[in-house]
Amino acid sequence: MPVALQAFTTPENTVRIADSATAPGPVVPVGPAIPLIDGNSSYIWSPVSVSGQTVTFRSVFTLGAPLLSVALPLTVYYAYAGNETVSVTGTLQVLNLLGVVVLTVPLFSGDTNLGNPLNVSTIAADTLLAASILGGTINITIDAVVTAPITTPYEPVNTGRYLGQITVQTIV
Amino acid sequence: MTDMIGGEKMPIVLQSFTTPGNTSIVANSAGGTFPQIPVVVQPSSTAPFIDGSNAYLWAPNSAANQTVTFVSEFNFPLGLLNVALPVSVNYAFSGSETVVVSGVLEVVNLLGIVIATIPVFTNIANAGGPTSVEIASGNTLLALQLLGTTAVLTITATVTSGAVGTGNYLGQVTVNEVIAL
Repeated sequence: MPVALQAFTTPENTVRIADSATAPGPVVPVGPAIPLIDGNSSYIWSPVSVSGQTVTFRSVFTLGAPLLSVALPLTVYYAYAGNETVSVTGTLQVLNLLGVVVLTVPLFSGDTNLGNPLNVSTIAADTLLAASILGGTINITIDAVVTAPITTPYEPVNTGRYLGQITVQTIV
Repeated sequence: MTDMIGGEKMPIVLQSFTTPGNTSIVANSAGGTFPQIPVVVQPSSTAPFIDGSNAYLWAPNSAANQTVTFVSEFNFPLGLLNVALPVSVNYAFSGSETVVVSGVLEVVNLLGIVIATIPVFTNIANAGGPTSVEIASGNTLLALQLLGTTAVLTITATVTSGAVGTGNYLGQVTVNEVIAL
């Protein structure tokens, strides 16, 4: 089977759910910066930037849950980078046709980039979804807590940044 | 209650970097006796790390615009199961200057005979250049009669260095098997 979903974190699919410098809300593009992930350098951050800032990003990626008479094996692979420390947690939810969550599966939790802004970190998880719950929507939520460098005096060149790419494979 | 309607998880069955231990050089425009053993080289200050590693490989000899072909082999067991086995592969790689990778999965029976050969991805290039970590992905569903055996995932990478400096190459493979518990 081909890849079912491959997408980057963008201002369209990602919001700030916590921000030590300002109110939660949309994200803004910053950069470009290195490293690139799969050719993309479109990092995102908060509209406000301060030394040592901590921002929690929430990205939601959606794919249809096919109607099948057998179970659906699904693999989630996440590659991410940021300035400076990034910790990511992934959760999969299955919603039925009424939009009601019928299943929540933790995928991975607390994976970090080791505080290295040149590091593209990778994490993978998989699950087997029973046929009885398919036919609706699958949402994969990636929460990333990113802490910017502490610099004195504060230098805009050290602005925090975050970029991730999700790859979802379904094997039918 | 979630166990009754699905959502069982399996750990990663294999996660490994390209190293001098699992990688050999089968072609090198700068010459040599093959297979050649790669060496770990110092990457540039802008070379990305992949999942914490920057142990980039290159040939023991170096030349401008050199082309080197690396073959890496990764083994993992397929287990004894009474159902078919979904296997997914993700490969993160980077290099200087241009890199083209292909992945092939072979199933080997207890006698060491290859009984299935499955291309997983073919000719994926590092379009983002030397500061990018590229992702190649593929998957397959292995039939019951192939199980109880070993899988060998072979990643072949052809890397061409630039006019200046030494080339380098680093990859990390992640394999997931999805099994109902």
